[in-house]
Amino acid sequence: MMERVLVVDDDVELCELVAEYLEPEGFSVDVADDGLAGVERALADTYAIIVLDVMLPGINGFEVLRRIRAKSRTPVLMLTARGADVDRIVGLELGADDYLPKPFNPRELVARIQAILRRTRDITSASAVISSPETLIVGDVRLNTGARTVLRGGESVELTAAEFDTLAVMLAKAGRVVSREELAEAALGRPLAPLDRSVDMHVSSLRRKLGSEVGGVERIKTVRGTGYVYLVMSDE
Amino acid sequence: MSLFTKIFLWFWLALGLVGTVLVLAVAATQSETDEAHWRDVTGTAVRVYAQTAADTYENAGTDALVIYLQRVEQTARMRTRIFDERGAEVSGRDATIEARRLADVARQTGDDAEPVFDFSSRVAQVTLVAQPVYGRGGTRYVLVSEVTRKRPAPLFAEPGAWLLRLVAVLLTAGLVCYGLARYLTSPMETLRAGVRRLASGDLSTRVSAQVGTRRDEIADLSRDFDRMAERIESLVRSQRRLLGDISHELRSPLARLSVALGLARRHAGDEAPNMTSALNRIERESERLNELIGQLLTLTRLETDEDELQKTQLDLQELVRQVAADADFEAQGRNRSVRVMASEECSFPGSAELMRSAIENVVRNAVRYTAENTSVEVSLRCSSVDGNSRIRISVRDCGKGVSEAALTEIFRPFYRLAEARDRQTGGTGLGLAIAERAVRLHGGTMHAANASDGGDGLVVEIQLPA
Repeated sequence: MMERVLVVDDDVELCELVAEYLEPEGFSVDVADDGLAGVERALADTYAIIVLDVMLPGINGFEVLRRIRAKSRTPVLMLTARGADVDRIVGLELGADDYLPKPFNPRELVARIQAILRRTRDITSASAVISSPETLIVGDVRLNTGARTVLRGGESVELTAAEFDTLAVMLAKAGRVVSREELAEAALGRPLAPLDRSVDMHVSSLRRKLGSEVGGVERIKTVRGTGYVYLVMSDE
Repeated sequence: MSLFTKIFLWFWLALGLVGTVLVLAVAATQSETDEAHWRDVTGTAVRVYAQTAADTYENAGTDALVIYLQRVEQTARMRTRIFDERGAEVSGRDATIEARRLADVARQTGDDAEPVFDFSSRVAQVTLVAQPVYGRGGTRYVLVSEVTRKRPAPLFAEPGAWLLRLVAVLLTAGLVCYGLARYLTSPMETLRAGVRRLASGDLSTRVSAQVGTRRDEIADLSRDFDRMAERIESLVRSQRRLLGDISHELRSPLARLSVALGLARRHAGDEAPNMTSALNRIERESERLNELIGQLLTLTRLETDEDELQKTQLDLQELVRQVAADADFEAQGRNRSVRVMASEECSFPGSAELMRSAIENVVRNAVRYTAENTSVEVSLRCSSVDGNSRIRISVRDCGKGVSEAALTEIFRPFYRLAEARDRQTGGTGLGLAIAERAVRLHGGTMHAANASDGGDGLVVEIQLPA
């Protein structure tokens, strides 16, 4: 079965090349060459994944992402300008599943798309197979893997897909050190590349959204050179 | 000597001199007029007394004369004697030798119009005045009065008072000159500070608002300065923007090239193995081009967006460790390594992105130049000197080092060493320039020095204020 991909980029020639590259890999590619058309397309049709350029005429990629996320959970891979970390951070915070600096190697693009698809498929198939979705409760945080919801002290916390997966891994191993590599596999569906800080960014936004301390104790502790540990309160 | 001091001292000197001379001149004329006036009044009075005394004596005799003279002494407070032609006291009372002598002098030399004054009395504050007159019978009398009066003071008789006057003059002059010098030179100071700020890179410097609402040459100069600064700023800005725009526009064809390369690779497939090395080469070169553009964009961003530095408290120890680990991973592939030799607990407020890129660029540069099978040594130290602590991150490679002259030049964008090894080693020529700007944005400095511990190598040090 062909996976449907929507590429939103104003560079028409690039879109054609990407389509040409992706089709033999088993993807059917639709193209939108501006932001509004991209949003329209993304919401009107069902796509396995959306590849979205940040720099778009009219409304920019972030705005497109925000409008898509308001109504749809379709995975989004952002194409960012290389070196612009801010783009990356903003994109991930708005709920992008991964990012790829532009210009990119098309092999890398395919690998990222497949990693994201594998992960989202796992989630959907897992929730379909497992009859009783697991609920993880650590301290004041309650995470439901089936409904993909997180409650802190009874209040719902909005997390992006990648943040949710990161948190799920840490809660499952609460009290033990989880390596950055492990988190990358879980949250991004791919091994950690050198110089890749996306895991750290997810952890820092988790700290912000959940509160960096619980009862005076650091919620997520950095273990220098290794990874992170979600601390369990001693009285529990 | 500063312009302020010069203006102040010269004007002060000039005003002080003029003031002093003026005071002296006024004082001199003043005392002269006073003296003349006194002589005039006293002379007139004595002349009247003398004539009346002579008439009284001739008309009414000695007793009446004595009574008259006593009345004069009481009302005018002048001891008065009258002498006849032979020098005898007419009223029959005693007279001082000084009075007699003056009477003799006056009889021989004086005339009716002018009295003779004698200021030489031994008794202080007494002046003798002699007035010769003729009686009706033509007899010549001389009236001598002892007038109590301060002797006319010589010009510098009271040094205290004069000193006071002088000080007052100098003080006033000083005050005025200080104001004048300030008024003239303070806008100069403002201008100078502005020029310095501009020279140190703050192109938004403007001065005419600070110089104020003057309408003179200095105000004109400051307006001209502003126009110049504006022009420089717009030139530099447009040049930077151009650089940024070019870099950005190069990205699109490069992105297409990259995908097209992937397609070419696929089409070549296994049937054309001889294509592979050429394609690899194309990929490497486009990757290099891409890195160069990325660095250029980073550099232009660092040069233009100076104000939006998002600072957080950074754990430098962890940052250095991560950068070193990443660089080591890459260096191992080329038979080189990166080692952290010393590291201390160290916290610093800064932009994580920029500090990382600064340290990374320095370390990668070192990896590029260090000889095969050697290590790049990284150390992080926090030292506290005189209460202000400093953070030093030093990166040492085991390469050939650079010439003394090049030590400061290597932070310039696209600076190429004479040996021109950069191209072979794959550098963009921007790494250290980016690092230097990033560090400078954090208020730090960067230096390079050849290794002094024996052995070749370059030590690049980042210094940050803690």
